Amino acid sequence: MNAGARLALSLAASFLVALPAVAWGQAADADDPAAIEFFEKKVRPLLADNCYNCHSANTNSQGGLRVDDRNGLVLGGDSGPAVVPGKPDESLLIRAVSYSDADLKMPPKKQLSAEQVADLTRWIQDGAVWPKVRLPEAIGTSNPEYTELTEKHWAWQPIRPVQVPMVRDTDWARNEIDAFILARLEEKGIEPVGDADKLVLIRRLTFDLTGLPPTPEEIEAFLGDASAEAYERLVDRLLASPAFGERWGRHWLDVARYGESTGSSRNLPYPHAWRYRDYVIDAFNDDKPCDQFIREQIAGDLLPANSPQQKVEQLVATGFLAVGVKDVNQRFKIRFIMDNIDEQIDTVSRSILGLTASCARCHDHKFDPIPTADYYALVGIFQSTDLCAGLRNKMGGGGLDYYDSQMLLRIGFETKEMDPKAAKEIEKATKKLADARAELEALRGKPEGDEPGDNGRPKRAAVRQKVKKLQNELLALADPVAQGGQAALGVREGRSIGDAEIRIRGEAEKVGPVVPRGFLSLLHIPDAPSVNPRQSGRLELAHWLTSAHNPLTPRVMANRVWQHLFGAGLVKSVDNFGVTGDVPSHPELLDYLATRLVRDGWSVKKLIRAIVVSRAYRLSSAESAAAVAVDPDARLVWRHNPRRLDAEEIRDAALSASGRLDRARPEGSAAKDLKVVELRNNGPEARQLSAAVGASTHRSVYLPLVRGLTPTALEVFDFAEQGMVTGSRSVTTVPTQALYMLNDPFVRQQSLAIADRLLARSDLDDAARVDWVYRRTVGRAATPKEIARAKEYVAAYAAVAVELAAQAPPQVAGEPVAATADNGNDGGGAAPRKKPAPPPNPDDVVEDEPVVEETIQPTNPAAAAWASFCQAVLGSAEFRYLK
Amino acid sequence: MFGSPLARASAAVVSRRQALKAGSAGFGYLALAGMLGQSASEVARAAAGEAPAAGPLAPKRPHFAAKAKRIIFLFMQGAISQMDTWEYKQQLQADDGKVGPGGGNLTGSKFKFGQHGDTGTWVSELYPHVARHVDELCFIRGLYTDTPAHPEAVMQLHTGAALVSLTRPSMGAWLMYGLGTENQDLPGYITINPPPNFGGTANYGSAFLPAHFQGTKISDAGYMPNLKAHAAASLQRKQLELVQAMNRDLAATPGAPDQLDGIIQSYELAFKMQGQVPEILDISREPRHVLDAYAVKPGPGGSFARQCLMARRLCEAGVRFVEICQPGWDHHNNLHKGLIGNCAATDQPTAALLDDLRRRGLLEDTLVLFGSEFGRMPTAQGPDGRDHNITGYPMWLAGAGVKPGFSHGETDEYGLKAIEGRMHVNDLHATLLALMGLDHEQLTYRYAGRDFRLTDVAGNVAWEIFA
Repeated sequence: MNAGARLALSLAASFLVALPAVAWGQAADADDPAAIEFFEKKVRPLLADNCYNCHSANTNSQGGLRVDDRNGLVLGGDSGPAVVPGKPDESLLIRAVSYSDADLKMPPKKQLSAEQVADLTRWIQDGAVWPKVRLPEAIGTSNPEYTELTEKHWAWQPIRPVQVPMVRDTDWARNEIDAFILARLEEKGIEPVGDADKLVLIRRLTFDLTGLPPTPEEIEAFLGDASAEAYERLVDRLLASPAFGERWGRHWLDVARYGESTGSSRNLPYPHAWRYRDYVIDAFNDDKPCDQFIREQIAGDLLPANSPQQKVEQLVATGFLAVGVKDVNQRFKIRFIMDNIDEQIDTVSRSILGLTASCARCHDHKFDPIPTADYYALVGIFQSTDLCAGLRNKMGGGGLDYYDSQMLLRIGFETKEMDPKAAKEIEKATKKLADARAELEALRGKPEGDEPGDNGRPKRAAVRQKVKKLQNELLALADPVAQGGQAALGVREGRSIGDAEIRIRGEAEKVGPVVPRGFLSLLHIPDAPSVNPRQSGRLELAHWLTSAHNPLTPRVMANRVWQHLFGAGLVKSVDNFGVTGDVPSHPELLDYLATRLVRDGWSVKKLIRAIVVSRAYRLSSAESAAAVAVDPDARLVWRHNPRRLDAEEIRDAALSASGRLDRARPEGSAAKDLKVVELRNNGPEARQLSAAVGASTHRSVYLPLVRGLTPTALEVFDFAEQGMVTGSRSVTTVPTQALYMLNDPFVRQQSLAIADRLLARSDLDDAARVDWVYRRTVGRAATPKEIARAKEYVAAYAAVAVELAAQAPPQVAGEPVAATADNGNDGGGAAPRKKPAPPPNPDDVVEDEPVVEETIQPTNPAAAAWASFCQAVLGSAEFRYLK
Repeated sequence: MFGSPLARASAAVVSRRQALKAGSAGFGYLALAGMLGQSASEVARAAAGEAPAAGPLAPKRPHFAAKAKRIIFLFMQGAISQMDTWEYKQQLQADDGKVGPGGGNLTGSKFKFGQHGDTGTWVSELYPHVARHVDELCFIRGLYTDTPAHPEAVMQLHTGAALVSLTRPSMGAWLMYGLGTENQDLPGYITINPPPNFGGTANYGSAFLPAHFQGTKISDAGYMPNLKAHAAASLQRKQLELVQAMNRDLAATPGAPDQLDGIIQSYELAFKMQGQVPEILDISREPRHVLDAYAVKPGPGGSFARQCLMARRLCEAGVRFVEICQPGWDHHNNLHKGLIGNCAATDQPTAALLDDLRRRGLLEDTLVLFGSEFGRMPTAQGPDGRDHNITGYPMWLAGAGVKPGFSHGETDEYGLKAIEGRMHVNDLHATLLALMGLDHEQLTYRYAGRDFRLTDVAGNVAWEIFA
């Protein structure tokens, strides 16, 4: 359906679909000239003269309400909708202007005349008609280039059955995937290199599938297994390991821009986000069919469930739509809503479809055939959905102002209606809080506020304290967690369901014509379900995304899997399959993999298995001058490109070597107990998180991922950008990484721990100790040359350390020899411990000051020397690279 | 330590590996020979009995006499509205509200423009501090670029091209490749506060150039973790030698990662950085009057001021290329207030940077570049916005090698299209390289059997602006 057709249809649809009372859509008679004239003559001037000073876009919009925009009135401010079209009795606006409620009298100083109130009442009665904005000509016209692109661009064409190509060297291929690879190589005259040896292979495969190094015992077992099925057995063991989900789940969390706070100008935590993290990890471990995985994340709340656990799981899945970046410091609710919807559309379209649909928010997409009307067809779906991230918008809020416990998903107990008694209490507490806030507001900037109150403190301070107390009381009543329940982030069906209006140039207030809810027109999906008018449409969107006729979803997914096994996707721009994206290096192979994924019941494990048993995956990383000349990046897979470990793998491998790695899943996250108040980069919460990171010995996937406070161990090795869909991480080589390896407390701790383990082994001589370290870090035996070098190093190091210690001023017993918490670059002398830092000024938001670390001190020069040796091995390129 | 056998050994590793990647012809070796060649300053240093710097980051001779030794790029990410800052168009003001030549309603600037300095250059009231320096600025007003989308345009500005299938090296990496860096104890290429998106690390990456030419990122608070050594220097040096020995062993094995040379270099650099960098990044060491001149303050509002001051300190210490970034210029709406905020954040610090550089004599060999990935339209977008304009927009330069108080190129009467002195991004790059003493056609790197350049197959130097 092109944009023109979509708009034409919308006219019909707006009559057919009976919208609920509080509808998003414009009233049906918005074009009635008499109604418009009445509005322009009577209503608009009245609003402008009496209300704009406090409630318009250009002013403060007191109470979050603006009356210069229909949506502003319908959505309302902090007290709820000001106008309910057709129902003046239910409209707060009428209550306020009629001065019938002692607490709500507007305008405050000048009561409107009876005639004016009558005009407003009539206007609302007649549907609160508001003139439409003049449309730019471009909107709604169909673009001939779009038609052509839709028909031609490779990614949007249906997946057709592909023939496995014939190859000259019939012995080389182990499976069909190999045939596709070899065919291209033969075409280019490139000879693939030989197979990787078993040692390289087990290290490569174990890291690729689990993100962990193989243990020396596992290596021994694999090398000793000469049977033909040894490799396949290894593959199956790794796929079955719980570590698999921790590694591959993390890949998806990159794409899902997972984070445990809002980021943006006011950084507020998401204490329940980790449930989504665990859901993702479990899904990969359970090999949940990825079509189902996608459906649950889009519409888990609307899918049938066979058990209460499944229900909860599916609710948690919708956290996908909720864990993104949000700017809560927004005066206008409508902008907050539209920005969040945009973030959701961006995430859904890029992660699942490899499309940049949110480019069409303000104008038709400049490169891909995505008209603005398509974008707003999706907006209708998400606008009819309540985003439950436990937050509300507010300009310049403080404390718990942004927390809205009503906007969380309650899980863990029956989600039936709340007990009416409790509801009443909540209502009462809400009212009390509102009153106290009003009281505080009334004192703002007034000298009266400075006068001493009953207890001698300024009145303002007393009222502020009261607000805080009431806020906490309300929280205790309404907070599902405080009630002993559990909460999750996610979505639920909106209180109002309906189609969305196009927003001219993306401006939330500039309302254009309504477009019926629907999907992107660039894909022709014959069995696409139409949106149930009584629901948001997420359920149908979920089915549309995972329809057998949707060519993008399986292509994008298969390409992501390929990338994680070969370092680059067949389409390098893994999140963009559009016109500005890359073209596939092996188009037929991509379709083969996509087809296979669907055919095998969308099993990611089966797809991975098929790929890793191929010869292509098992090639060595040796270089060949002839091949390099033609294809230096080995895009055609004539060798296996070496890969640097990801940040998580580096940290996990170090913990693994030191024997400190705790493979169990921790309870929740270090961020789970954070209050929903703004996080400052140098505030106490930040320090507390940093300390938790320092103390953690769990796998890196479980580290707290509060935006802006990414753990250093992850940050320096190119962790995913948490603000957006990150299908592929970059790999940089910068001195910050070397500094990390030389100085970071984590690295020094692990080095020391390895040394301690080592020295505890009195059964080993020094040569055996060196070998032991090599096997646990780089996964191989040390060579005689390396053993000799290491022994020499340890001896020489210890000698220098002793010498330095002798030169240094006398030390208190037990002081560190060569490594202390905060000595400078000045030698082994012990520096006095840092004085506790003065409490930070909350206005100085500068940067995360690292916490004062625990003292990492070897007990004697020999331990220091061995620790230093171990640290050198951890710092070596071999430790962090796979061949 | 510069001439340690270690460093020389790593240079040898560089040549073998890079030559292999460069392709079958001998060009790689030739380029490499130049790359490792000694510069005049090194010869002088050798004559003075000092050990010359070795390794791929050692200073190298330019192709011809350089006008500038280093660049500070003030990147206004998101596209600053030139119509409200540097481009005064009388006709636009007069025709405010009329339909423009390419459609849309022309909209004059709501900000007052005035003439400044002896040159009488028009600057809007948004840049009162920089306006005092107009006689030092060299405007290039006829720029144009290829893509009206931020990711592609930002990538093109930084790498010369925005092709997805092949990421190109960033201009800073090309400079490092061509010239090395003056201070071997510091990264030669530093980017402060770069945008995480719009190409992200590719904008300061080295792509197929060796990894040690890529930029090092610093936050706008100047914080870099782990700069403090935790062992005596002599012990740490020992440890480092062991790490490097292991790295060289790996480099000698078949199928070793390409980044090994970069890793080896990064360790050498990291070791040395522990000495100088903490002090250089610590702007609190500046006297109060300097901090005040730059308007340094904590928090997001002081970000650009801190970056300007860090940039000066880094340049003073011999960093070849420093990029700093002020985001938030993408004013499709909220143009008026948005500009007031962003200009206020950048005006005084930028002026202070120019002042400070001049006072310290650094402006003689430091080139300052100010600008965005593209410009904005003379027509209105909504009630308070302007859309992207890739057909004509300005940047300005100041300092080493450029004519002060000069203006090159021009757009039409409304500021829509470049009509005179037109400069594509490739031309800008060719010109910047020329100012640094490099011939953009000679600065090539062989990859995949082809010689690549920052300017691809285009680029004309705007000799008119050379002092």
